[in-house]
Amino acid sequence: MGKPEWEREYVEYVSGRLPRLHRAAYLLCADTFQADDIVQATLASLYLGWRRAVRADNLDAYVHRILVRRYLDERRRPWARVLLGDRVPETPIEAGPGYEERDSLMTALRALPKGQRAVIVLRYFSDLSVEATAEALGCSAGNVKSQCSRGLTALRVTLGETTTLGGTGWQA
Amino acid sequence: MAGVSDERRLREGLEAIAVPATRIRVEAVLPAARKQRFRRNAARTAAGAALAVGVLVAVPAVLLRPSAATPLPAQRPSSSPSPSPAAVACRMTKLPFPEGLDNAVAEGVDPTGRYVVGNGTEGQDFRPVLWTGGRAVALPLNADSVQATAVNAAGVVVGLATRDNRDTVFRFAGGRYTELKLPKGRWHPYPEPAINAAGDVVINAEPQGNSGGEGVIALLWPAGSTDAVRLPLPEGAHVVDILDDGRMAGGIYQDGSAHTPYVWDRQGRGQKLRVPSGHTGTAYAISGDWVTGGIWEPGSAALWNLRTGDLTQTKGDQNPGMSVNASGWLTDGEGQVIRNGKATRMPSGGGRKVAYANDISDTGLVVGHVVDERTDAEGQELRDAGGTIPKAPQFPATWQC
Repeated sequence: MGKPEWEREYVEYVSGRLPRLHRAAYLLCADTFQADDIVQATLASLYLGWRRAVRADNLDAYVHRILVRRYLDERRRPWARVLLGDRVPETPIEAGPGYEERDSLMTALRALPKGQRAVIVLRYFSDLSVEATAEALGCSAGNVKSQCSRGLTALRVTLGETTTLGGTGWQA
Repeated sequence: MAGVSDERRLREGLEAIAVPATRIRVEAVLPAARKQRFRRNAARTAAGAALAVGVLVAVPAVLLRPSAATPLPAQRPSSSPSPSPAAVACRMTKLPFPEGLDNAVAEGVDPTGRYVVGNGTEGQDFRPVLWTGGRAVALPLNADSVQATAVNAAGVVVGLATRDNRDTVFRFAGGRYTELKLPKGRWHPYPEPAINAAGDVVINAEPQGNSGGEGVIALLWPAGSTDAVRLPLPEGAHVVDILDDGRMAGGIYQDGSAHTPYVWDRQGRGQKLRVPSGHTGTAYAISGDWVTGGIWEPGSAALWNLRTGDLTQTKGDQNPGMSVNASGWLTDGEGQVIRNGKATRMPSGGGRKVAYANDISDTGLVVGHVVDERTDAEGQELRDAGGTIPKAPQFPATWQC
């Protein structure tokens, strides 16, 4: 009596994508706990719709659409807010500035409007095409392009102010 | 110019950002997702937390967070983004915290509006609260976690007690708890008990170790009795609420998913509730002539009239109806009140406060809580400070509409 075949497929897919999805979620929200919440909710939601999801033309775009929606909707989940204080981190938080503070790109990313940040993360981290990004965000391809361009400009400006860029690229 | 090199550097930069480790483990994803599936179809709002606490204690704390068990948020409010005159007419009263608790949410109200039950939390455990005429009392603890889920007009409270990760059903009356015995064998009661005016209590139970409702039985404890009666219902039948005349609302589940909403009497005679063809649904609450629940996809709030058989749907994304009163007002999964097909949020006192409605009495008393949402900057400050992030300030409240 094993798991149904589709559950095995689901677990396989999730195993392969979890680190990337988690990183994408963190880049979006810049918060350790919230990133876990977003990924958790995304995976639960994906499970619910798995049999439909696997038939999607672009499963990754489908998953990112859920992920982004969870991110954008985060503030509206009542229970998440009510119980937020009850989880004590299992790993001690390092003293001094948080992860995000040590990272100028993260800081710059956080300064972007939510939608623009989502476009940047989906396009340049999750490697979705312009069309797939548009589909995930429910906007037009033209909108994705203009947001990309604005986001890139903003990141360049912010980083120019806060850090010195070496010739080798954006340092973490 | 936004050259290729900028994009390349951005890609490299995004890969290089230090990301804290996730606490989600692949092997724990599946059980949590299965719970979510059940939650979506069978439990009521607050039961999400109940299920999580009762069932998932053995898994990492991140999975105990009830967020995954919350109905998936709607993309937009179902209707009327601005408060309607109806909402404005509801007057908010803050409920006090009982001694010894600094947090609590009001989750259930009896039909007369006199008694309100709710729960605070301590760690991952529930702490039950009973408000009588607005006065708060923390109910005694006789288990690791005690969750009050419903109260009737006589002030009898029912709920779930968790000891060593095992849930039992209790009745609380006259200052003491009575355990309502499960049938012989190893059963897990879910999602949470409901009670009617007479004191009859209903819940479902599945063999321990199952999830998703395989092998489910529906149980009734007639008023005053501690021995469960197994209801003669079809395979997959779940009951979630009981009317004063003894009829019970619920639905038939197939493969762990809600399929057909029903109202049954004690003999198992059923009244099938209407669902548009090609859709599935289930009932979550019953009151007077009204039944509420959800219809999927996409998860609208459903309101059935038992006399006429009429169905009214309020469109939403995974946002079913959760409770209903004798006038056919309901609360949805987003904490809104729906009257005459119009969803509104209760007034919250302004600022960044957001009100969440959880239940409604027949007298028009809405119970719930208000959360003071943090700004992004405040949230960031807290995160930067390290350690445990405190709860967003929140308080229990009632609204007289």
